[in-house]
Amino acid sequence: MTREAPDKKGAPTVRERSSPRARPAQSAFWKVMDTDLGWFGFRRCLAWAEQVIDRSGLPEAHRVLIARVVRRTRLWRREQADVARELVAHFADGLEAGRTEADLLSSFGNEKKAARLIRRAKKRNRGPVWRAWLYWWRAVGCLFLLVLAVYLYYGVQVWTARPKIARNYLAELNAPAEAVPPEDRGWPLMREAILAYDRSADVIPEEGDEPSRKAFLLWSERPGTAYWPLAAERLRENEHVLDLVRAAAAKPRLAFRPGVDDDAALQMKWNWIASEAEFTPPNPTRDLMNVLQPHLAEIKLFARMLTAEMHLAASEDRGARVPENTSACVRLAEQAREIPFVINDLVAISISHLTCDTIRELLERRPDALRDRQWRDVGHALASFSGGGRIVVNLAGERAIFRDFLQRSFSDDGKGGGLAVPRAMPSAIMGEIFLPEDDDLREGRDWLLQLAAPVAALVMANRRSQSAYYDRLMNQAESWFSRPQWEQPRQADVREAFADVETRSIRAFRYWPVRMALPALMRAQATAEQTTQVRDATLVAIALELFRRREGRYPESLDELVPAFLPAVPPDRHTGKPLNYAVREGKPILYSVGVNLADDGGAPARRPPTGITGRLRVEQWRHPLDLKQMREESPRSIPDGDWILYPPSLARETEDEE
Amino acid sequence: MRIERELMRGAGPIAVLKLLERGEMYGYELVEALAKRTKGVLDMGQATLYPMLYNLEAKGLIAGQWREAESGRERKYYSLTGKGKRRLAAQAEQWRGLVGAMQSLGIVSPAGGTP
Repeated sequence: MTREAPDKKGAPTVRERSSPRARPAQSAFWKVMDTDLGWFGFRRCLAWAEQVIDRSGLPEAHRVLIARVVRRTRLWRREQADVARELVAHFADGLEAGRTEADLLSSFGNEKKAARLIRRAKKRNRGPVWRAWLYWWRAVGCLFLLVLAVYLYYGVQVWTARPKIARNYLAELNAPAEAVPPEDRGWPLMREAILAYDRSADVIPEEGDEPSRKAFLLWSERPGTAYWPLAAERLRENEHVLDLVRAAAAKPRLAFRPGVDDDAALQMKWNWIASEAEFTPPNPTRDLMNVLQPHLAEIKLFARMLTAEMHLAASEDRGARVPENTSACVRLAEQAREIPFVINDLVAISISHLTCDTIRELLERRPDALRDRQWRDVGHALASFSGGGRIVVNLAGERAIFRDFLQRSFSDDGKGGGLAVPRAMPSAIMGEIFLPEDDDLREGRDWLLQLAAPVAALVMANRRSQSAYYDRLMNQAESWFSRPQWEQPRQADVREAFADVETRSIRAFRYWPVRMALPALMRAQATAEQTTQVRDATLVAIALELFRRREGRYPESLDELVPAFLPAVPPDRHTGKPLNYAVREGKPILYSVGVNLADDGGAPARRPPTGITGRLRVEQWRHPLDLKQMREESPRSIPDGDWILYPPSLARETEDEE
Repeated sequence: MRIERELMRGAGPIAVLKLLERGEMYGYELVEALAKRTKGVLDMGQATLYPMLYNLEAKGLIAGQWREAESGRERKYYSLTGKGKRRLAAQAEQWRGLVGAMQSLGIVSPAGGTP
């Protein structure tokens, strides 16, 4: 029996001898591996057990066997030491009993099996904390596998899915314009006006020598303001441009075709391209969500020029130009609305509002600049906007945009269903993180989209549900829009109807495309209602002036204007009752009761004091029950006084006082 | 005679418990006792015995304690716990029932040998 003295100087340790690899003694790598950090810390775990084995005094073969078994158990350091002590005791007892070294080795059994069974048994001895930890990790592992399975299930479907573009919504959108005879189209003249107009010259000095590049600031000047002489001069120089605009407005339709009519010359004018060489022909199957309408900004600017010119014409005793330009502005507003998107309605409403503001300013400042006939023409022109009735926002185009989006961003199962395909979605829906506008960045993020695709498909409602939900919201909105302002729902009802897209919880992701594609519907219609009110008040103000000219006085009540000057007294759109009227110091005042819904006798609302945020404006309508709640919670958020519709100076003076 | 693994799995633990009924024993002593007292039938290698001891310990049927032996070396002595005693009694009863059944089938004779 060979026994080796433990810890003999120069003698190899068990660790060295039991190592399965032969290695160069001086290698830096093995020097590191011989430290406790070697083998990812495993050596450290073995250290206690090795000490036990090395000090055991057993023959080398036994020590090597024990070391191998102990290492194979991969138990904790303390457990390994315990096993080592037990095996050392076993072999020592065997030797003491007179058994040979070889006999003991052969009777030990399979060392791999021993290590495996010892590991299993020792783990059963571990405490409840470790078991809890183990079960937790097992649960995490199972959950991960489940998630992975679901992810792959949806992944396979989404990664192989391809949206199917069945309808060309852009062509359908442009079809009415295509059908307009060339001689009835205003766009060629409008295009000529755009190209002829050099807006870079129409700047006003602002803040020292820094010129403002916003031409509309110049066209906001009025007689008596600082830069009115400059504006008047530029208006005269741009007379040919305004002639083209009026001619375009006089045509039955503008017939602008988005995605088709922005040719190379216009793109250069708008600085989209530097030269004609950069021009690429428009894509006739482009998605509606990304179709641009640069003509809207041009139309709006020209309308502002026309209103500025009304002031110029009135001051130069050229009253006939006022009804001409009024008619042109209203026609421009109608032409802007030919394409049935909400943005088009908002531009049209803005032009109509601006025109009415101009007319009321002229009525107050220069009522005698126009003859009776001319004021009547102005009234007729204003009344013609939106067919003379209340202005209602059209949602047909938004529906088309969403339908087009669905066919491009969801797979098609042929039955109306399909899964979201995020990589096919436009940036407006997926956001800048996943789909940057920049093409290079977008390409680089493709992997991110591919990874997110199964999650999106799982979380987002399918195509049929998206479509149904969007339609439900739109139908609800249209139902509300069909009623006048004073019959609109409470904010709580609106919030409830839009709960799934307004919420900030995970539910919002289910209808994420609807949330992102949905315009601010209620705000758009509220703006339309305000403009309807302003338009109605402007018509009453014209009627009052015509009455004064004929009767030499203002009427006692607005009923006196009917039917000679007005078909009916228009309603106060905050209450549904007739518009409010008073004569003060010989001057007429037209007003709505405003947001507080109380008749303050034509006392204008004061501007909100500085520092108060979230305060309503006087023209913002609120449901009486919402108003009551606001009064209880924050009474100062509701402006007192009335919404002065005429004369404009009264409301302005009140603002200036503050 | 070589006992099949499944049979050994059932018989091994009760055999160990039975050996410990008379008093505490250490690992090597158990190996030797099993081999001698069963005439080699339940002679299990250390590769099987020690995991079995750890399992019984984990179940609370035996308890191990390190102590210094007369030789000055450390040994782990195993003893039967109360729970182990109850388990031994229950399993012994089952084994007796099993042997009785085997006898009635003529698989084993009353003396314990093959009929």
